[in-house]
Amino acid sequence: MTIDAVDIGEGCRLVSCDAPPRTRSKLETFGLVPGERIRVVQSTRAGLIIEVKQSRLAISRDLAHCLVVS
Amino acid sequence: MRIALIGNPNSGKTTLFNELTGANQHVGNWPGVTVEKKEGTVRPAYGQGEIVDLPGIYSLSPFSMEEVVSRDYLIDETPDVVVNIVDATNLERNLYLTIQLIELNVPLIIALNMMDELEREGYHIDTARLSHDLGVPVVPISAAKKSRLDELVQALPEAREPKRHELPNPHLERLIALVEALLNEHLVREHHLGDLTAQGYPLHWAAIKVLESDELVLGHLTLDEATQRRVDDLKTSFEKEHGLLCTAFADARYRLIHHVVYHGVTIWSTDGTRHKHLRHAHKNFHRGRKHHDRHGRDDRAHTRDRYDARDTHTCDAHTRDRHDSRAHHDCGTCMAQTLYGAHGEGPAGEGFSGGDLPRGRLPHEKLLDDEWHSNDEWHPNDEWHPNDEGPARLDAQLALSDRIDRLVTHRIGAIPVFLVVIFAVFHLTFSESLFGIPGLPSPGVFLQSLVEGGVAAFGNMVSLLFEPGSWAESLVVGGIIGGVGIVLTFLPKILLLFLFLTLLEDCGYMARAAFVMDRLLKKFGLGGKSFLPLLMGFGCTVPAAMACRVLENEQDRKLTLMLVPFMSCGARAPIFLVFAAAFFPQAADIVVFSMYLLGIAVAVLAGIALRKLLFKGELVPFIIELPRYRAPRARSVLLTLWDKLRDYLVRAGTVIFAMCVFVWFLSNFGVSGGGFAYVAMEDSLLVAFGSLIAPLFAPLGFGNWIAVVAVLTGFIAKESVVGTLGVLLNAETGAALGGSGLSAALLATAGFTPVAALSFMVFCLLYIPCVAAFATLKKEFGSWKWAIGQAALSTAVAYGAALVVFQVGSLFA
Ligand SMILES: Nc1nc2c(ncn2[C@@H]2O[C@H](COP(=O)(O)OP(=O)(O)O)[C@@H](O)[C@H]2O)c(=O)[nH]1
Ligand SMILES: [Mg+2]
Repeated sequence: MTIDAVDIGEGCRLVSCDAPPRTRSKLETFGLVPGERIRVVQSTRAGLIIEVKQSRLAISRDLAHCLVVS
Repeated sequence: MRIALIGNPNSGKTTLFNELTGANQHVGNWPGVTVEKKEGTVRPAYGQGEIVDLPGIYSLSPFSMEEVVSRDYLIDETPDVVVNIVDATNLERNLYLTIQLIELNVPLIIALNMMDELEREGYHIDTARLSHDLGVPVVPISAAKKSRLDELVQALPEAREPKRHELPNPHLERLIALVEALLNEHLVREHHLGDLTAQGYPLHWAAIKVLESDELVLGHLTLDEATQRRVDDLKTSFEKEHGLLCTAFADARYRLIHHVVYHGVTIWSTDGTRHKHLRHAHKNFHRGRKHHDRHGRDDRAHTRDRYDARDTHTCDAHTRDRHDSRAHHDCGTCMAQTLYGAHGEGPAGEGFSGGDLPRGRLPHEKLLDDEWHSNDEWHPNDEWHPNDEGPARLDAQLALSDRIDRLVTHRIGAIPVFLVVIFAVFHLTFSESLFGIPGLPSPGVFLQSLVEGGVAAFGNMVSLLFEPGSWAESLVVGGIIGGVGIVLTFLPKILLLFLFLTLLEDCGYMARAAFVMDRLLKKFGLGGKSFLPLLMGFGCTVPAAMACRVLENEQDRKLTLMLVPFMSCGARAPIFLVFAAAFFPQAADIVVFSMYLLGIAVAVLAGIALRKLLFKGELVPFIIELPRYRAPRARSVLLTLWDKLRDYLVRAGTVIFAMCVFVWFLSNFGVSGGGFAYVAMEDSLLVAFGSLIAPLFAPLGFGNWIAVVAVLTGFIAKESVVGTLGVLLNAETGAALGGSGLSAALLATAGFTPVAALSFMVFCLLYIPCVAAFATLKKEFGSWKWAIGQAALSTAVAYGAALVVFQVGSLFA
């Protein structure tokens, strides 16, 4: 499933990221590599707020579709 | 000594820079780009040296202007010391940049910032151990509290090029070694090696960058075809087996960091109910620290043992929950044993029973590769870790910041919250009657009236020095003090707008607002980060254009700069108010409001069109870090304001000054009596020019020289439009004019009909921004070309829109 299906407050683990290379690299810079834990803080139509490695990121919904998690 | 400050955004670089330099700083731009460059001299209190505040970046990959600028600076300018500011409350993410700086082999020292916050939250970092494991001196500081900054300065000469760390992925290391050899061969063949090492570009780093497909480094290396092919082959075969290279690098770097942080560093939690036993442990640990400090740093391992023993003594084992018992071992021994134990070696035991740590060697060097490879196997995240805000906290009470985040980005609640915040900002800045109380001006209006009074008084005083009616008086009082003065009177509102903005930015709300607005703006080819500058445009174009700096993508930034002037600024409001009141007294508010809407609509259309035609690049997907909520600090807010103030004053004293003199000259000199002389306005060059081009405006309905001259003076300041109309119509009709009593009848003498008035308003809404805005746009675009392009575009759009309004309107009138 992709991360936008995760409930608010739940944690998950990144499996893969299907974003275009530049965007993926940017996400990787924030620690979003496969195996990393992610917690979903907020999920709205605008996008998601996720917590990874103690930092909080806001990503748009289309980007959230690229993050496959388990 | 030349010092460079580098670190993640919001890690406290600017705070540290400001503290170290005081007022001895200079803000400029990096050559060729509009990334801000701050340089300064260290205050004598701290010693000496030159500091550069490099832009805040997350990595050294050349993805953004900021990253390229920072990297080029480190490589080309070879500063004596690179101070890497690391936010201790967000250690892992911040160390990602550190690892890359170590790869780049620059003389490095780490300033571990935000220690006050970390300690307040009950965590502790063993900086000596961190320093040892990273191979880089670490000085814990608090930039905001100014604590231990002198230690940092004293430690600066200790900075050395650190020994690079092997990445915990043997396949990757092997690949790097292979590419390094290939590069070496290539460079020896090409006799390049000399340049490369002379530049301080380590070959190893170049190899990593080649593998990461870094275009800038590849361009620099100019690999021959054969080498390039071999590199590509290596890459392909790696990626076939082990997945994408970039991911492998990021993963390996983060694993390395994870080790340094969760294995090598002790972080003790005392916060919250969940770890209440740890509060106790923490206290004991501190007692341990004192002992440690007395007995020197190398005694560290002993201390830890001692602490462990005490903890066992003092804590009742039965009341300790799972977390605690883990904690008690975890950071120091447990994990290490897990790691080493698996391979039958016992350096951990050695390390913690008093022996020294295996210096210079990280534990992972002993590990088998597959340990690092499968994500499902041992993962430090699975163990308890004290700083975990992840699932360990899920069942716990939601943190306050979670709740605030959920409120301010709520799917329904976000918009009202946002509107209230923005309304408050505008109300406090622009309202004539605060909280609806008549006669109580908002701070912005009040301060503006003070400045206006000051400028007028100053003008009156200065005019005493001149012979009344002389051209010199007219130049100094009318031209310079009048012109520059009007521009200065905007200053209070601009500063106030910036004050509120800085407060919202500093406390962390703005990043959330950008997120909320992203979806809407995406429809117009913009991203959430453009939102704030556009909004500020309703106040004043000048700060709005300056605020565009938050956009890291060059294209997005330029596009936003192009659109900002279409937002109707406060100075345009008087024009609408006068004309709407004169010609549409029944529907004045609707007319004024629709002007604002028209500005937005034009910006939307222009945004879509420019994105299609000029800024074809894909919209950068929205990723924004949401900084922690923090109380803004007076000092940093004031310094930001001072920067803006100085910036604005410099512009008022140079470009704006020159323009005012120029316009004054045009409006006071002309051909009269066969010669070129100082004349009354009606005979001036400006009026002559106005009359000359007036026919151009006939299709718009105001082809009258008075209207045209008013439009021309609007370039100085949009407020001047109404003022000029008043002066010229007065001179023409000799009618007494009270207040802004430009009546429909009076305006009609300048040829205005209701439809023409509408067309005039539309034109004034959209045409060329004022001098101050234009000068700012020039600075922000970094070139005249773009600024003139913006002016041309807006004037063309204004002409077109006014034409349509007048021609279509005339059909119905
Ligand atoms: N608690 C605390 N806050 C700090 C410290 N240093 C900086 N800050 C705050 O962190 C925020 C970001 O700092 P700033 O200097 O603008 O970071 P920059 O983006 O790296 O330039 C500001 O709100 C500062 O007030 C510190 O040592 N302790
Ligand atoms: Mg800064």
